[in-house]
Amino acid sequence: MDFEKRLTRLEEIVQKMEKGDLALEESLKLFEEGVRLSRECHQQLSEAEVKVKKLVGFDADGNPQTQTFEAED
Amino acid sequence: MDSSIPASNSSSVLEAVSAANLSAPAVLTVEGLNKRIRQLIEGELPLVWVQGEVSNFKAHTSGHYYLSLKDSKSQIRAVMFRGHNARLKFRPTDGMEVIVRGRVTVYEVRGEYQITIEMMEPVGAGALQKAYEQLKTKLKQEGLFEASRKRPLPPHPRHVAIVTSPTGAAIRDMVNVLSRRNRSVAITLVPALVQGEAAAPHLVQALKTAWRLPNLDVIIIGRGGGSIEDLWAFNDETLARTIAASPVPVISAVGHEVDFTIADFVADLRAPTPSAAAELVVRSTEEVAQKLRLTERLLVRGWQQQLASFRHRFSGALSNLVDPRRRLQDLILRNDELSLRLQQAAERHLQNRRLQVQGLRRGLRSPNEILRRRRALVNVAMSSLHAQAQRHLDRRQARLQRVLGLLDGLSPLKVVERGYALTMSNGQLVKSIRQVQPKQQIEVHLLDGRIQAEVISVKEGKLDGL
Repeated sequence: MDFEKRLTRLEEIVQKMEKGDLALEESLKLFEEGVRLSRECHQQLSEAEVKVKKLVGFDADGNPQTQTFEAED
Repeated sequence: MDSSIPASNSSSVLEAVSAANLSAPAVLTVEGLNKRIRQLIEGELPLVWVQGEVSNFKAHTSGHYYLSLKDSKSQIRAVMFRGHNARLKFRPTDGMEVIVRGRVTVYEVRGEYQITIEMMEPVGAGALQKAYEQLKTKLKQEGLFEASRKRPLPPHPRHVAIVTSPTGAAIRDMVNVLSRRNRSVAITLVPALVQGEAAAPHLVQALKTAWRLPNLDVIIIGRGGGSIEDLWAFNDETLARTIAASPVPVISAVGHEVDFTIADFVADLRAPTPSAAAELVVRSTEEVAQKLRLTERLLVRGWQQQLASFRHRFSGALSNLVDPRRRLQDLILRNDELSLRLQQAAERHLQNRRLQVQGLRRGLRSPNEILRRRRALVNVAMSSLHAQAQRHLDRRQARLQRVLGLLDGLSPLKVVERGYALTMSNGQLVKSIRQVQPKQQIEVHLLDGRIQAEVISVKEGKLDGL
């Protein structure tokens, strides 16, 4: 699941929680899902490093061909 | 005429002519004369620099420019062929003071001469500045700089193309900024020349190449600082029009903060420097992280509210459950009172009968037979009364027991006092041993937390052991 979808689901959960008409079992389940989603979101944000690729061309199907780019200091 | 034409040269030609035919003056054909003139002029004036005012300017459909150069005293016809005028950064207009470099050429057919211009530069304001102002005015009039044309940046760009030189300062600065932020943005560098004559068409091509990248959110086009000539490619008209036509929003990042190029005006967003462009892209990602943190706080708050609400409902239920004890006491008291009253009633009844008996005894000389019968009646009444009282009591007692039994069974109070727990497995409340297997992970939820546990074994049986 991508970051946006996770965040959207997390917001849905918060809205349900705020309504407050849930059974104990259900709200516990939602809270646990929410905690899991937010952990995954954080991971996605922190894990991703900025990788700069240099475009060298396109293959026959039009897919970009790249190579890792390291800026010279 | 230029003083560099040596008179001796002309006379030597005449001498040569005279020497060839001394007897008669040399007669030249018109064609021959023009040919000689041409040879003379073109031979003697290989390259000249002339300053003058442009007049009668005409851009022919063939692409050639025709004009005259004049000053207050004189004028000369001039032509600038397509191959040369294509390199002009500005368009000559009548009245414009220019310096030209060119060759004087003779058109033999008509016996006319003109200057063939190879290079032209406006006098006064620099040529580049002039060209810049002209293009800026033109594109502005076309509406290419309108704020309404500017597209907003996508809020969370995930794929950014950078059109710049792979060896320049710009890409290095941007990579530095982006690495520092450590955020999830894919960057594709589309290499392009950013300086020199070939740079503008190169940038146009690179921009169009970037459009072919899949899922592209934004393009940054730019280069590091330099002189106005260094940045010139970003004032190119074709590049400006290509930026305006981009299907993906374009951020321009050319030179330093003080440098404004045509690309800056036509781009959706102008970043003062390449580093600033990188910051613009990752700032949005930082906003995402902030939103995430806010949502987390709301989640925890929502959960705490839920818990508080459950606690409230639970303690409400508990306080209701205390009542039956008091009700039991009430019932016992009432029971005692009733039995007392019953006893009193029975005694009063007996007393009445006794008085009756005494009265009868007094009034009727007490025949033993009557007395015996009365006594028997009293006995019957007494035992009936006792039995009735006992039955009443028994019924009350039985009902009380039933109520108490029921309440006891329903009341979580005692269970709570021993340690109330919800057992969960796979998100389900465990209500039977059939829901779990040995080795299965379960969670035991208590009021103040939860215990992760693993099922060791499952045994069927009643709760007798407790």
